[in-house]
Amino acid sequence: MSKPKALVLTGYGINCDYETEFAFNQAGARAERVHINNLIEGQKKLGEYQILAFPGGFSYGDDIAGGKVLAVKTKTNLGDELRRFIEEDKLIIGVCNGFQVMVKYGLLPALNNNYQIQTNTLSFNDSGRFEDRWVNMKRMSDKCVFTRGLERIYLPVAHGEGKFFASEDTLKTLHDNQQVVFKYSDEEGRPAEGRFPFNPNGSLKDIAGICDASGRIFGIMPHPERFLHFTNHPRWPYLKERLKRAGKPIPTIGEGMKIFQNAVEYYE
Amino acid sequence: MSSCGSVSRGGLGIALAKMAVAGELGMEVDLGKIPSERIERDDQLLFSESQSRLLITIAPENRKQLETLMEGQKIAYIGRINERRRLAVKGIKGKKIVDADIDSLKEAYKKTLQW
Repeated sequence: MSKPKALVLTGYGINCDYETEFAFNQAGARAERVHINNLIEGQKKLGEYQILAFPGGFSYGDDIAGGKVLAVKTKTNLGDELRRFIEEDKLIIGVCNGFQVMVKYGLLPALNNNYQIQTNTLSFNDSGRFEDRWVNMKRMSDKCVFTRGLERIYLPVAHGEGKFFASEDTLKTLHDNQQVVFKYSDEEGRPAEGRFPFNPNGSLKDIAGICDASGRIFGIMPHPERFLHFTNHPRWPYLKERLKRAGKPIPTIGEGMKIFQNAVEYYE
Repeated sequence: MSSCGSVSRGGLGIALAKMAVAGELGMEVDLGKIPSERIERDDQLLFSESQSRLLITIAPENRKQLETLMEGQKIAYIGRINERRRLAVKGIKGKKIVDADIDSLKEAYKKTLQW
């Protein structure tokens, strides 16, 4: 099959769109940044793409709550297109603010295949402040298309509202359905169990990323598009020296790239 | 070259500590070997912020190569790296003046903004 087309949404405070576009292009997709108004007004058609990305940023200045306004705008104007997109076996990823948008829209976790109703939220960090730090995560489920082959991953978070919050029942259902994709852990991959800074925001059950029941729709708070090259790692000179001394090859790509490659490989 | 850092804010003492912390390795340093003029105090050698100085670590077998590269510049070997995870500094008179665990150095360096 030819390269899948990825639509990277932009506009109104989305600010990780260039990196996300770059990531998908590097991974072998044909990515394009598209302003939400161009979708709404019909200059661009969602149906012509195979992958949709809600990038990180501060859409609408986080007014009301992170992602809320963009979620309402998307649902109101593009609800039918998005419903068809999901029915057509396509892929959606939301990172950080994009994850907030998807949760507030109802695209995630979409229990009982209902992609319209919000069932949980991402709220203010327990620390009460914006957290900008690197975190370790462990993969908890092999259901998600985007995370195939990744056991653990190290990525940066940059958010003020990343605390995953849901009712006991919803949390249980998410676990039972294997929809919890990533959990925050310590450096050795042991569960963070709420401990700061391993769990950077107080997320219930250390949840960092979830998918829908099909595994094709994925949201994650940390930023895979910020670790595309080995030298994005905060301690790469140290790692490089360690690898060199151990006689091991020095990687060029970063751990986040795999997530975008998985999306492209889904169409091969 | 294994690592290189500038000697700036906090002088050589801080540069050494930061390098030990970043590499997670220990260091043994002799202040008596630092090129200087008319300085008789350890604290001045440790914390002077004189500009245009670099702190470099290399593997011993790269010594010749470094000297060729740095020809015409003032360089001095002031210590050795080890696996002990402690920063040990000997003063001008040969007395041990610093012997600190690198985890405590890291804590001291980070704690002000650790939130």
